[in-house]
Amino acid sequence: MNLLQLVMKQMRQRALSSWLTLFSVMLGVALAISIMVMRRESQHLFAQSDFGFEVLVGPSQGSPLQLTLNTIYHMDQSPGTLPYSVYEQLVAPPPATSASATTTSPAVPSSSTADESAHMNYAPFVKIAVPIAVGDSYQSHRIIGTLPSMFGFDELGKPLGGYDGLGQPITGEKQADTFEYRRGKKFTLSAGRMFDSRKFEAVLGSDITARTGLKLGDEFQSTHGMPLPNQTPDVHSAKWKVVGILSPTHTANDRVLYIPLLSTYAIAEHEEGERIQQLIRQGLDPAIARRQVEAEHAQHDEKDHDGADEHHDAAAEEHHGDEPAGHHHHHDHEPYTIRPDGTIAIELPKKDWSISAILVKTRPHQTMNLLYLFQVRQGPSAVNPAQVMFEFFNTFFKGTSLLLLTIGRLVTIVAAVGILVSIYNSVSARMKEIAILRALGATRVRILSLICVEAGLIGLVGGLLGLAAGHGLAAAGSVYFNQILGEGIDWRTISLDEWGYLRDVVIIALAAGLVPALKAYRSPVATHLSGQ
Amino acid sequence: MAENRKESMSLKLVNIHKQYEAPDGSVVPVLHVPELELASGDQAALVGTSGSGKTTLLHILAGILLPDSGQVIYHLPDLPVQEITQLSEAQRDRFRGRHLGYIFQTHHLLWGLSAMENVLLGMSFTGRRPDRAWAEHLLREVGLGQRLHYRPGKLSVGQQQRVAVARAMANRPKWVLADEPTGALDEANAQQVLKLIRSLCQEISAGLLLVTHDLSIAEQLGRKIELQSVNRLD
Repeated sequence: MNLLQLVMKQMRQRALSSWLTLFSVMLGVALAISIMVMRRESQHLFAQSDFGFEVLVGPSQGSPLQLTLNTIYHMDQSPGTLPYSVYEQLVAPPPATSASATTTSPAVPSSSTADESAHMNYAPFVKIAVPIAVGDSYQSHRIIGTLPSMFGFDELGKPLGGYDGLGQPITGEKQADTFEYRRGKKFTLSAGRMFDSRKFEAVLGSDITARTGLKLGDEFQSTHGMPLPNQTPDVHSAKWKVVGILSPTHTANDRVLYIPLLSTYAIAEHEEGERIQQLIRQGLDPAIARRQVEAEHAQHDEKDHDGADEHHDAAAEEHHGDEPAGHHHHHDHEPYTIRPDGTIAIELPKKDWSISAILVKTRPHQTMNLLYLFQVRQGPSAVNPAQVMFEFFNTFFKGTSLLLLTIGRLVTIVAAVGILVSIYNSVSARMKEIAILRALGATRVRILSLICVEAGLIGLVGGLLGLAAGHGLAAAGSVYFNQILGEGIDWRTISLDEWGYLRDVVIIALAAGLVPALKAYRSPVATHLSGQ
Repeated sequence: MAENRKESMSLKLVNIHKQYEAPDGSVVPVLHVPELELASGDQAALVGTSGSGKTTLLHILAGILLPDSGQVIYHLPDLPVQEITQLSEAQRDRFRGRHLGYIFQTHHLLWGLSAMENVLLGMSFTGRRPDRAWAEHLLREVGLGQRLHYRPGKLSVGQQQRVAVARAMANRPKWVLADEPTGALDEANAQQVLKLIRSLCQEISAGLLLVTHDLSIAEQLGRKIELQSVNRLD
């Protein structure tokens, strides 16, 4: 019978005590390991820098973090809106006299003034820009109004160069430089087609069907905002038809319903909201702006009821001048009409459009220049999402996780003290047994080894069980992250740090065993043999 | 010390003194053995009143305790003479494990191990490979061939003591030291266990020194050594 067999048999003899000690070690290790995995993976998840765009342009209010979380992870409230014209300034073709696109020096043209055309400033730095408008939801899933260019299609829903109708790259053709949600990764359709940017159509993120039951051909109505559980949802009357399903991206985008940006301006509440924000931007107090819009709205209704149907919004004409005859108002208060071809004619003038954010892929080496330009101008803010997330992780998450890790390690030490107490007590109860082993020829060193091996074994087995349980906890964390972010974490990989920690646990357990082992080592054999 | 080798003499004690310190700090002498010689293969009974130092003497012979003075000399066949009070504690432990068998008044078996494992445990500290066949033979000899894998809790007191006897013989010791091995048994069991101890000692050519209060048991052995509390050896 070797030492290990003897230890195992003795542990089995004191099964309850052994298991409880093992369990306490397992808990400590599981806590520490799960924190280590979450910390590593959170860094990967939050401090990632492989976004397919370098700059997020958002409203002046709100923090960079709020803008980033809201735009990329679809978390938190939208910090506000910015005029659609900012998007136009970003994508307008630069005049011949504009700054070179390859300029690498800090790009603040000396002629930059508040009233200067933005075309002179933004466009040279921008490769691709995609606007988004958020605010509505469907069954607690975010609805985003955007342009088909986000998915590699033009305004009419036709694929941009190098892509087929499903958004898949055509072999052999040079791919067009279209939007990427992550570096090198573009949205593709798995079924259906891209929405027509002028109709009440929608494409769904890959998880939406499973989570809401919506499928191709179905229609849905959006809910204003994201109502809380005790709030009565304000459901808009407009209906969007599902025409396409996106392939999985394994990001938060999979839980989003995408609709044409234009269709978001066809919602009465949105129109009112846009008008209020326009007045606020003009310097009006928010309360006064709201009252004024309500008054305007009441006046508009009165006109409608007076049979002034011929009233035609000049702004709508401006953008949709080919308003067909025979159109009708969808609703007394609906600020849009539907043309015979199914496209939407909205009343809200384009100058009053507002959006939530713009995702910008810059030209090479122009990111800092564009950020700097937005910074020196009073107006919309622009942030680098990779930098924001990195700073967020470093200032908030890293410190917190370090604290948790310290707690996890302290728990392990408490567990080690548990080993010490448990084995110490068992040694006290086993003095006669130890004396018998000595009488049978076991040396003091052998007895010392016996106790230490028992402690080390509890540390090792408890550590391995804790490693498994810790990764189990991380797997649960992955499910949680997946629910809130649409992205899970790699909870399976065991890092070198974890193996190092496990080694430390065994060493600590051995050290804890040394105290009772020394007690056994020093115990007088004859005294304990004589006791009956 | 090879010149001191003497075939007829196997164990010799010379002027052994042992005293303990009492709780009040006073010194209490417990043992004085001027001289004692036992020949190889002897079977002797060590008798004496309570407190006469019988168990202390057995512990000294086993190297578990060191005397305050005196010598304990073993002359074992094919081995150099060993004066065990001169050995380190680890050397004494190894000497005890390889060459001595010890039987306690109560069996002192490990409850987590089966009868077989308890016997094998006796072989675990010699540095030699455990001999399962010999362990099984011993258990059959003591009448436990059908209960090799029973744990002590499943055996009667008499059977437990027989396992302890088998364990003491596990390493084919040269001397078996038995501390009142029949003290906790009824008359029938006591006689049976004594018989087993004696026959197994003969089988492995081991000497036997057996502490007992029972004069009828002492009479059955070849020699009776009386240890008196006045520290006078008769």
